[in-house]
Amino acid sequence: MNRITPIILLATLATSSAHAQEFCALTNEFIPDDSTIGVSLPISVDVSPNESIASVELALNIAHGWVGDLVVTLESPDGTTITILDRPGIPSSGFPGPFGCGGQGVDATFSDSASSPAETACTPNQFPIIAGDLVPLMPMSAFIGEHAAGQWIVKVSDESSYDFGIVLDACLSITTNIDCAPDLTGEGDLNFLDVSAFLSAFANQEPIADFAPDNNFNFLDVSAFLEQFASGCP
Amino acid sequence: MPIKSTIAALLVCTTSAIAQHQLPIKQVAAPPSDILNGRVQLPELSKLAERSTSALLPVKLELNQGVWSWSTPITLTDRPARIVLLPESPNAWGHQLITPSARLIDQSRIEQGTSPLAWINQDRMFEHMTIQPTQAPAEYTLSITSDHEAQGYILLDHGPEVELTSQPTTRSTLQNHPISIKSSFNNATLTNLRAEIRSPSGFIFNEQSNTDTITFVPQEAGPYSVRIIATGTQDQQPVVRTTQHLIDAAPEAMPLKQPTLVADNAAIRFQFTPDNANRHTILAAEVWAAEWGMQDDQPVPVAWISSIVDNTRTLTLDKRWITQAQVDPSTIELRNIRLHDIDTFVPLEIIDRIQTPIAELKLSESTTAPNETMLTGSPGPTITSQHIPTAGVTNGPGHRLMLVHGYCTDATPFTISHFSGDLALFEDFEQSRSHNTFALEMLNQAAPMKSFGVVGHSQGGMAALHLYTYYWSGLDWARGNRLIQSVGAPYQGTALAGNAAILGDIFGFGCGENPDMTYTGAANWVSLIPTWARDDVYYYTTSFEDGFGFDYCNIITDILLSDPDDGVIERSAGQLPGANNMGHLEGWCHTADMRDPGQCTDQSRNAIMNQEAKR
Repeated sequence: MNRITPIILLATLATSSAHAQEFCALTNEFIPDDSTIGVSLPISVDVSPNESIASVELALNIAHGWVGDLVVTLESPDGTTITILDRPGIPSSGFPGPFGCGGQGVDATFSDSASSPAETACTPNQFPIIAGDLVPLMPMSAFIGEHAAGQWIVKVSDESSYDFGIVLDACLSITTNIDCAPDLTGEGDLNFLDVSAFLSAFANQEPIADFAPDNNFNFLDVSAFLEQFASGCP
Repeated sequence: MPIKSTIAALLVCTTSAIAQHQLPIKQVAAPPSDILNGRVQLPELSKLAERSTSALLPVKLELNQGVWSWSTPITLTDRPARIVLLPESPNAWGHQLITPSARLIDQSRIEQGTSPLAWINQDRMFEHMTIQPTQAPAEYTLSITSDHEAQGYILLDHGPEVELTSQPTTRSTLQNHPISIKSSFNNATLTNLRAEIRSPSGFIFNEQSNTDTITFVPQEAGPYSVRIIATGTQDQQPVVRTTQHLIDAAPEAMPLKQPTLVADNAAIRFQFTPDNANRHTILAAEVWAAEWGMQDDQPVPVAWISSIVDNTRTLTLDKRWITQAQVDPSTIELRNIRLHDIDTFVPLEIIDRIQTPIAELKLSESTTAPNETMLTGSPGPTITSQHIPTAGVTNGPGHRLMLVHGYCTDATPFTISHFSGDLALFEDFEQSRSHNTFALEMLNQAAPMKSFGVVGHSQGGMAALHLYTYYWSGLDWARGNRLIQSVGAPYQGTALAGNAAILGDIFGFGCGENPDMTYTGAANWVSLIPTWARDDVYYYTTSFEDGFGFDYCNIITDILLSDPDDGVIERSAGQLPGANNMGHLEGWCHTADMRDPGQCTDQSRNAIMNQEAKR
């Protein structure tokens, strides 16, 4: 997962349809061993303020000698925090032991649409031991409806001794809905500030101004913006 | 601190208690190749035989003119003979060897010495003598006298020309079911056969036979020591040989009968008739089926499956085995279904074949090679432990190399200074454990560790392999090159196990019988160990420095073992097919008190094992 931050996966559509965009943290961060403090990785999500969250996925690549030590949380700009991993394998009904999953490495995408729970993805002699598409411990749906823009925090802690590691990559894939396309300021009503924001974005050829979604910036975008502005928002 | 971390900390602190109750078990499986190469099949009955070129004879003194005495004829030949005197108390006997012409033998023909009875009793020294050969076979007389009624045994080694072979005629040895032992000489005519049998409660009785087979009915459950005394003639000279068996009479189990089949997305479960005996057993079976479109052809092996089970007695087959074998589920049958006692590995029931067809089974996608979960099962199943560990937990956390001693040891045999890094010492001294109980003690002492590898001596290597095969433990998470390294492990048993049962009863070897280390017990156990587990074992064997003349590690046990041996383990019986044979070295004996140095004190080998060990 070598990506530049942020990467826009799909062209922004100036309609109410969903946007999926990916944003990554600056990584190669060492995780303090045997500490609940962990390492916090900020991810700046630079989207329009009027985009609300439809779904979130977190892709993590962690080099670690004992994944059962790891706790991973994700915090949204609104302050909602969910636990992605919590010392996988603990508590267990005997397997894999009191120290949790003893394998090495995480290279997985956590999303509600996956089918296998991350907490029990533990097969000895498999590397990385937590891999593929996995269901996080707590559902990502907790973020649905919140505004996506702002600083997200991925926190990774290593809460047992003798093994350590680093976070190689942490990327968020956020799918958003535009609540009201002409409400470019996200204030919840339409006024001259939105017109001003449109003109500024149009002049800078920002995707948010591509109201006639053709990757061109011309009178069609102006016309579409004015038409939707005139129609108002629900 | 997150709740789960708190729970984890509590688990670490209370692991011993947890381990006593819920044990994580593997759903063991092996590919068809293990069925075809015989690794997971019960041994041929001939492999269960005890062989002997010696005679262990009871000495029963009788009072005659104020002196307690006993004598026996001994045929000396053109080969040296060895005699060991085993009185019940030290220095209780005087002895004389009298020639056919009724004179004392020339003492220059006798080399005398004293040795401990290795593996059985290290505290006592026993007299032994080696007698130079005669030019022609002649009958001498060994006379033993005492000032009191001192009983005991003599052990006579007549040389290898005549060997007695005794083997049970059935694989299952069950309480209240007849047990037969068939005997034969290889180079002599059998004229009389009798057996001296001691029951688990100590009741001694004799059986006699006019045929080549002795039969008795064990009315108690537990280990019976059986001494077969065979007499015969060779070239018109009398011969006598004895074999010593330790036979466990297991309580009968509820018959398995036709299993109920339950399938889910991942697996098929064969649920046999529940037992109400409240004991653990090991259940194993081969799965066979016809290839798709070849229903009229012979079935092919699909997989071998096994598990430790409780009363529910269920075997699990990962459906990917069926996909991989490309067979029709409607033709599935189980073969060689076996239920073993978990401590003695006595087969409690053996069923040749049960048809278990499955209709409309939804199969998983194609699998090209067995992966880990197919061999060990998916995580989750546990079994309630019936073992309460006796030894304390003295080792710290981390990733460690555990040095594991063997049967009935009073100290760690390895030179600890030869090892470095994070070490753990397994300490369960002076005990006789079944492999399973030994493994659970290891599991208990390893509980603080995230992972560990094992360097094991003697039974310690076998117990580690048993643990790795049937239970999840820190062994499954160890990293490095070699998971289990063993020195002097009797993977195929030792004749001393049977002899110890008899001699130990007299000389008070404190640890008790160990049926798992008889040839029979070992063969039954090793038939439950698939190749994938053996492949993680790296084993070494040693024996005495072989020069000219009589060489040995322990002169007494040398009589009971086939050369070369290390004083306890024969080189041949130390082999584990499918594992990594790291070589055989002369000049090293099983323990430090034998003629050559103890095999666990070899600095060169210890350094290599330390370097290569997984931790």
